[in-house]
Amino acid sequence: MARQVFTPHPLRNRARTRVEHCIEPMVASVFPPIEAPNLLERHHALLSRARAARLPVRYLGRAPLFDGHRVFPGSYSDWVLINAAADPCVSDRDGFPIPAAPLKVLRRMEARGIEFDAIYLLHEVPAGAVRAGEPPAVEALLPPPSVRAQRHSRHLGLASTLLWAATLLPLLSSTRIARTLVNRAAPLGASLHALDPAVFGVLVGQAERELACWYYLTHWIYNQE
Amino acid sequence: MRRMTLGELLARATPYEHWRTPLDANLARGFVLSAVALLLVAPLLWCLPALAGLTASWLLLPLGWLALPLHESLMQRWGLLLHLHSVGLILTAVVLVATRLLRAGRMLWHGIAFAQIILGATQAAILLLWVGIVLLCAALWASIAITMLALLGLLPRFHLR
Repeated sequence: MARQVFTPHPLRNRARTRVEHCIEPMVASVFPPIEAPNLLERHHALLSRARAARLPVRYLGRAPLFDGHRVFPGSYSDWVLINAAADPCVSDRDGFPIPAAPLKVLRRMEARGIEFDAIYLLHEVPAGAVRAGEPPAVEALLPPPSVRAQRHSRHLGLASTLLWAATLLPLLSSTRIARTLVNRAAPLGASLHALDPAVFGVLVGQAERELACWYYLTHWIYNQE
Repeated sequence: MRRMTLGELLARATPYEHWRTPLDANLARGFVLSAVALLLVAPLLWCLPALAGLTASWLLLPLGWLALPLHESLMQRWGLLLHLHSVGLILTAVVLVATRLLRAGRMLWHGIAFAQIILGATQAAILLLWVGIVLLCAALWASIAITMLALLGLLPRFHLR
């Protein structure tokens, strides 16, 4: 039986996003064909399922797996590619924050039976915030608070001020109430910058030394409304 | 090497829109005010049956028409008021822990903090009504006493040079 060989579609022929621009150096030079029959079968099954469900899974190429993280310097910011199992954001006590739209896409993938052997996350961080040899600080990887959530909290704060003003009306002078109401415009703080994470899935062959197949699953920009 | 699957990642994922956000300063202030109100209302609520004597006493005679119906209506809902007060205190403790002393928390905790504020403000309104009635009656009695003393000529006279 003739061996099937898969040749990936190079990213450079398509309009690239910032994320793709970042990951190209990692995968562009590693395009060996998938030779292991088991891995090739899984690869085709995965892509056909994704295509049938119109999910944005894209094959990127082949690269070795690694533990921990790698840092890719960018023009304005650095990119940290990290194994999800070692990502401090994923083990955050309030959960790993993913905006509703990409979260829905990932849940659809899971519901369609699209599963990967490992997941890697790509974080955009300020230049020099994470170094290659050192474990990344969770503060450097965590996103800023949601602008929408802050707005919601501010509305609750305003409603609470009005409620208390109504309750304490006999005790408060009008000047005092006015001063309290003016305070409603709370600063948003350092929440206006947006980070640009992405999620990659990886299929691993049976042989340990075999190169893994990397797939782009989704990406998002925090605070993009 | 440790690996995480998509399912495991999704089990730990949370919608970003509901993720940890700093509490608005006004919300935190209202929460603290509400917590203080809940603590101040506690003795009044527990002593509500004992206040029946005070309500019927001569002290509240000037505003008896207001104090008596208020006391009766509160006594009818005493169980509910105690229950709501306990809920308010429990919410206070839970929100303080979950938001790390009102620093930041998931949106759920912002909503619960607001619910606690509603409870606290309601209970504070009851407390203020009671205190207001007692103070008003005291002021009325004081003015009556001063008037009587003045009429009887018992007030000390001040001579201005």
